[in-house]
Amino acid sequence: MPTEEKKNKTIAVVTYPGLALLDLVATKTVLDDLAMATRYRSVSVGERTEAIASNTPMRIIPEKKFEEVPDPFALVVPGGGIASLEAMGNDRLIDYLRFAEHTAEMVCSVSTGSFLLAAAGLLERRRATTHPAYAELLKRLGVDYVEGYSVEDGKFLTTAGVSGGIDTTLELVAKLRSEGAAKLIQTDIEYDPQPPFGGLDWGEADGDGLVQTLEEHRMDLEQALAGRPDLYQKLFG
Amino acid sequence: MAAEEQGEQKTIAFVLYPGLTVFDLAGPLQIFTGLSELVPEYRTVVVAERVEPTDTDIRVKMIPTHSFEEVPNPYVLLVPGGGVPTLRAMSNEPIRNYVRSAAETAEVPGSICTGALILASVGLLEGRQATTHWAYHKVLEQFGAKYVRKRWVEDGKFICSAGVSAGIDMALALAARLTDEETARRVQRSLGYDPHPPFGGIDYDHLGALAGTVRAGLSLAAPVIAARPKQLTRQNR
Repeated sequence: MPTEEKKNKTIAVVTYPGLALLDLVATKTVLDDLAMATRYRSVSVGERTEAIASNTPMRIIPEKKFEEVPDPFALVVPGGGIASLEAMGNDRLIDYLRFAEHTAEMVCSVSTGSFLLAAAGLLERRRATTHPAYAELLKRLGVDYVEGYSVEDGKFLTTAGVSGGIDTTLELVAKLRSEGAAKLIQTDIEYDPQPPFGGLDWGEADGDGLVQTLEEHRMDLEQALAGRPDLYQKLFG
Repeated sequence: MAAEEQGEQKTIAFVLYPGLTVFDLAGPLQIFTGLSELVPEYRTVVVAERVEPTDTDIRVKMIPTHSFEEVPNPYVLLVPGGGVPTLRAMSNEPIRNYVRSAAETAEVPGSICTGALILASVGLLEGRQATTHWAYHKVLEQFGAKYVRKRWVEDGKFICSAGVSAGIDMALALAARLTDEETARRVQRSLGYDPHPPFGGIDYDHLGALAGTVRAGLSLAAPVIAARPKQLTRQNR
């Protein structure tokens, strides 16, 4: 019997403590627009349907538990910087990604969400990308890192996520539906970006900054990755 | 006690209310959370009638950090928008009272998207230049504001952004006004905001053809839900 998720083409957006609020919110907003007149439905999933921290002072409560959405049509993993690295040690989350990936026809990550896909072993022998500041670290995990705003390999779409997931999800909509649908949603959320001081020059992204950040969080990461010494060792080389 | 907790800090307060478009809030919240981390002189909070899980348009519940009473005099007050729930909020007394009194003492009161309608509904935008989501510009004008189609518009101490994602650009401009361009750029870098819409920008000259978007559809109902704008702006003055 096909489950409700299949009939409705559920897109599961994965949450974890400390995730980037905008990655979650922008992704869900764009997907909700897609849900109009289609059978795609987005749902946020988490370990528990209890309050978790975001990377802002506002806490969030995901809609469903992982086990309530066992076979989504697609998976989206938001970023969270260091919080993503810590979440690599969360067995329940990593197990969910491994399990849900079997039935998912598309697997996407925003920014450092790709670290969770890597921790689940889903990026082995695949080309993938991440937030430019974390490129070096993703390589340390053995992923074939490709520089770019988005990289597609099979059913995997990993993105740099440098617009809080907006660009990523518009691309996803174009793949699932059409470019016209993506443009319509873009108009609805008035996404015509005009950063007052222009974009960012990623050429300036300095590796030293990342090494320093990593050192600052060494204790937290050691604790968070206690069950995954393999990952901890690779990160700290 | 609230004053004691605030100390010398300047508070940037976002208003949260049931059913709002949480994207309006999430973008600028990321910017000002980043600013607070770099410049401890500022603290960023999310205020609501009660500190409890609050429903949002994307069904992910969000938990504010403070109640209205706990933050009576924020330095910056930002009101996010939404669809029908925003039109309802315009006649909700606790929200109206808080917005009116906090905007009065705030150094910078402002709005994102249709949040401008809430400011306008308590009479704060009469005769002022302002902006809102493109589909709602006529509703804004009914409240006596002069609609300007720009990414964000400043008039006196007020600042308003266009729809949804425009709040991010406005927040960066405001961050620069509160501090300096260099600091705003550092915030942008720490967030990695470098938007690249995969299918280009918005063609504002042909919006008529795009009237089928979600927010455009809802805006048609606005005059019915937010009836008698003149009465609303005069209520409880």
